Amino acid sequence: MREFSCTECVDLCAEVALGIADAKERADVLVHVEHCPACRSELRTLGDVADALVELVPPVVPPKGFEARAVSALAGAAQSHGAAARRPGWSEHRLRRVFAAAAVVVAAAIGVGGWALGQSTSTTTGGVATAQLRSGHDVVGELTVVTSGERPWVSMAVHMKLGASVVRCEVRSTHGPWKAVGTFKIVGGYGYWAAPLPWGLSVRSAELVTGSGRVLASAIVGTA
Amino acid sequence: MTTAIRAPSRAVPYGVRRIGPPVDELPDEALLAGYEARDPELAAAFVRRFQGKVFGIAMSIVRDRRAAEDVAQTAFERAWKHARTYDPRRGSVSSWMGIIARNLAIDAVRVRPLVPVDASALLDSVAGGPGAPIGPEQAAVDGEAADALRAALRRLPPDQARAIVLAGIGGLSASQVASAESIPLGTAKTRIRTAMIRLRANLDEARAEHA
Repeated sequence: MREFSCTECVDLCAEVALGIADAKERADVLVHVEHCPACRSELRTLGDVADALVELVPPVVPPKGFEARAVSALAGAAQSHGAAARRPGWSEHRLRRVFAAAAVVVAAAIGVGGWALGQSTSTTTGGVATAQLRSGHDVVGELTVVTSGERPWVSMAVHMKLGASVVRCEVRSTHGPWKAVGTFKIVGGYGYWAAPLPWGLSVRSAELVTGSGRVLASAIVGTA
Repeated sequence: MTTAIRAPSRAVPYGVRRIGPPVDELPDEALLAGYEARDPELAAAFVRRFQGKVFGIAMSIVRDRRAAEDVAQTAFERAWKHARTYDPRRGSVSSWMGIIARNLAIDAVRVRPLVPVDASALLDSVAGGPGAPIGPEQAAVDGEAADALRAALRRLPPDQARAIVLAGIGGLSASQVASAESIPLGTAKTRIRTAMIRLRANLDEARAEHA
């Protein structure tokens, strides 16, 4: 694979910081800054500017009744959250994993910038790393890597409008080759899979791949 | 590693009188903790405190009140789900909410046809026209950094200022900026990047002066 240079990275840092880069550009930059302190610093400072720009947007009074609707929707979301936990057929172990993932998503990115970088990256908390699984700009699921137990393991939860399909999870470390670590089915637009990782394999990025090799979605796991 | 805001162990149910300051006087972080704990009173106060900001940011990007309301509502749900990831070292709760709203709004507009946007009007709305007084709503969100950034925006060459507000406030991608400004993609990217670097330099100067 062609090396993504510092020049290319710096050229894209402003767009990534502003949250307007496309998924591939964003992934290229975030992978690069993981091992490049100079570009990481550039991204961090531009992220500060991007965040400050958002602060300039004047507030706008929302439509009448918004507050009540928002609070009501929140109550509904909380009930759904509880209902999911009681869904038949979900083992306690599996639920623990799903909620471990749900609890730590979105904000922190990989320690390289302001909140702007939380758009689509990952969070690592207490040996549990999660990353949004993205197809273009759409979040289609979540990748979770747990390294806190006796043996590391990986899981994918996927929500995609696909026909019944068999897909595979491929992972790679920072510079290593892609390695398929498991296959699972997507049925009714939903699929979930988890498995221990092979010994010695650290995960920095993952892809959801069809049987024919087409990449459906990807995720980057950061380091906190 | 993020520093989590610890939620109260129990939410206060409806009808129970809270002891302590009125909820609208609580600091943002305390409100967020109560919000995460599903305390109805604190949740309402949280939404009330940030709804104008969140809705304003959503409107600046999606430019449609109905779509902006959807974005704003989703932003509050997302904030609730991920409240534990809030890290005060990275910025204020207000800033965190703003970024959540912006990212959701950008995701929302990417799947819709581009709505034409007036770059000059957008610039005036955040930076004011030359010498224009700042309205009370903007003054409410003012700080030294905001003042410095607003001044820096006004000092940018007009083509760069339009590009950066289209991208940074309007949420347009570089190719959409190019289309809106009738310029090549490379020129749009250069204007966005150059403007960001100039704004950063101005912010650095302003911070050094106040240090």
